[in-house]
Amino acid sequence: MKKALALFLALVLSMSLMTACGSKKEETPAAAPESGETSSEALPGEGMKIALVCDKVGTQVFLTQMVDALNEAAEKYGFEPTVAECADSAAFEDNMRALVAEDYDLIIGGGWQAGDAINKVATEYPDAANYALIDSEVEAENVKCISYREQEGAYLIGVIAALTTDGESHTYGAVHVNEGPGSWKWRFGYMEGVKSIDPDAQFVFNYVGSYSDPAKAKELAIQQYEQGCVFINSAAAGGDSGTFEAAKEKGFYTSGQDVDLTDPENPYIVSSQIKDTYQSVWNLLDEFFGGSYTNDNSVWGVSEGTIGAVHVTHETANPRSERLSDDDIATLKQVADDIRTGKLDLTNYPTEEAYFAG
Amino acid sequence: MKTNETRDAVWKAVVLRGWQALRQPLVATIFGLLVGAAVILACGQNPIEVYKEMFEKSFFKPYYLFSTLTRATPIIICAMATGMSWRAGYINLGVEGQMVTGTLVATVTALFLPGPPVLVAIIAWLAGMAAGALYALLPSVLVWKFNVSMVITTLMLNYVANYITSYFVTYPLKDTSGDGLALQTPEIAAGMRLPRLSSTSTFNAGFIVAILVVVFMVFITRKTVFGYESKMGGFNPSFARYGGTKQVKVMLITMALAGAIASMAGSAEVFGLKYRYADGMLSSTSYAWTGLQAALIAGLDPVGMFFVSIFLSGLQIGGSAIQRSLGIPLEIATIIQCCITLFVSVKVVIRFVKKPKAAKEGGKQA
Repeated sequence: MKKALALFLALVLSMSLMTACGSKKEETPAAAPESGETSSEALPGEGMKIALVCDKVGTQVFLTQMVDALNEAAEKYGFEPTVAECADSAAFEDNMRALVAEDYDLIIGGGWQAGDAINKVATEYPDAANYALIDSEVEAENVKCISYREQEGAYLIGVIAALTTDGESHTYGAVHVNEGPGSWKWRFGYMEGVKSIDPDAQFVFNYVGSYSDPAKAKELAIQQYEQGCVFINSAAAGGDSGTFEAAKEKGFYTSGQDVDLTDPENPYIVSSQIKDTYQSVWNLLDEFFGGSYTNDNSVWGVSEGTIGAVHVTHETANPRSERLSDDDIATLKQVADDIRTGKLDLTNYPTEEAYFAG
Repeated sequence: MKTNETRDAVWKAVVLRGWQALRQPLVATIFGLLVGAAVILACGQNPIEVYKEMFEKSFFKPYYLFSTLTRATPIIICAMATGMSWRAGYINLGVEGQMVTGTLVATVTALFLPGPPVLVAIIAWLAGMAAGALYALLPSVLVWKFNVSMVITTLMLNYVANYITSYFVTYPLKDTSGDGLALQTPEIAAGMRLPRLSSTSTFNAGFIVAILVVVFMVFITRKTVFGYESKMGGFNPSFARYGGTKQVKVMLITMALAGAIASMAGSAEVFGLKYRYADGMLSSTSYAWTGLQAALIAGLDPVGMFFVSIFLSGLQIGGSAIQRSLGIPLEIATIIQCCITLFVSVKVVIRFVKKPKAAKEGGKQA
């Protein structure tokens, strides 16, 4: 009897808990079908199904932007959007295979985490669907891989770093995730950007070795500050918050990456290197429905509007640091224009070995 | 007439026995699903429809059933590893670490040992099992020599194993082909992979390995002296010692077996499904912990653990199916799964409370 009572109480308790936190979510499912109905007249995507397979979205802006773009594009083109969130590494392949079995027309992998899974599934079922992968490259020919010329954004950040430092120091810092070919693009762009303003520049690079370790990023940033860096670029993914914290404590300047990370509460975050996934998904879907879609890989940069830097190519509501004058911004806009028109060509860059040998 | 009566009695006993074994998990499952229904209602959806979709896309359509069985493979083996040690009274929470260590060793052997693929694959599995066993012996020796807590050492050694393997995958063993962003080893040769058992899904011979492990567990626990001794040690250590069991030996063998079995869970995943070792592939998926839940729900009975593992795996597969098609948060399946475990553990607590009472009554009668 006691047992039954205890169970019942537990049940009631958990129910009331769930209802309390559930009410918030009701808006989203209600809003989606409405917008679908209003635009039901012979849209190009009518009856098509498009899925985005990615990590758990949560508050990761890199992913929420993709989801927003997918849902907005669904309104315009009339296809049925699906976001398959993957809780663990096995779920990417499970979800991808299930989407193939459920006859999806286009499967988009969001981020490098989806790379291995989409490579396997696309190789096994080449004709089942169209495949696209954002921000990574895989071997399968029938996966449209969209990667970025991050070096262009990093170049802009490098210029910002030099203009912010204003000759106070010739040592420039950067905290990266790891030391691979993926990070070389960023380091190369950053160094070139700094050197275009400050030819005597010296660099300190450190690697966190993890995508989410703010404590270590902070430690590394403080060490770089002690070595005399006035500007420390943060490219430590989830670790960025650690660098920002260190910047506020010690008073050096820094910048983030991927999305606008500038913050009115932290004036030391001067800019942010943009990798615009919202624009990328829109570009991809415009191509898909506009008829110009092919499986060829694309590399997008400043001229496609997907790479840039806050205050230069992307506006923000947050205030600009006083270290960046109007003249500085004019210089920066000019650099961005040069990249756009091809006057400053960063498409091809040397390997790390060649760069340091030469 | 008389034979009829005996048959009825036997039949009754079987049904009663079955009911007793199944009652607790069944009631727990129903309560779990009810709580889940409340959550689904709170999300503004119809629970019956959601459950229909969920079970259709985990058990009743062949494609999804195969996915469920594929995901169940490592969970079943982990449940067996847990069961092996727990039934002997050793609260081994280190199945994850043993699995990760064994799997990395197996993968490295498969990648670097030259020779005919099938032979190399067999050696790789055995090497993995040896590594898993050794990693399980580490805490056992600490328990034996220094009398530390088995629970804490095994649990903490998971982190050690995860970070060490993470290091190897990030630096010396990393696959640098492609853009080199993913932390994973290169793929193992095609000849070493376990054959697929279905043309439409990734269902593979790893499942047969899992069944063999279950059969092995049943054999060990029911038919061998070692199985009896280890079980007695779990029930009542003093009695086992009095009866002449060498406890240290039993502990070391039990833990080594558990570690060896645990490594097979990861090997089945690498050789049957992923063909490479990727950082976090065994820890982010919580195979070991789902296996532990299965072992608890089934009361450490091997056959029971087998079916409960499949059921829990189905909840996960069905959970991502309803997330995809109905936009129900992925966490719902996790909530249901955890509620089931919670309601089953209610049983465990009540048993603990009741035990002394029963003992007292028994004492009075005597």
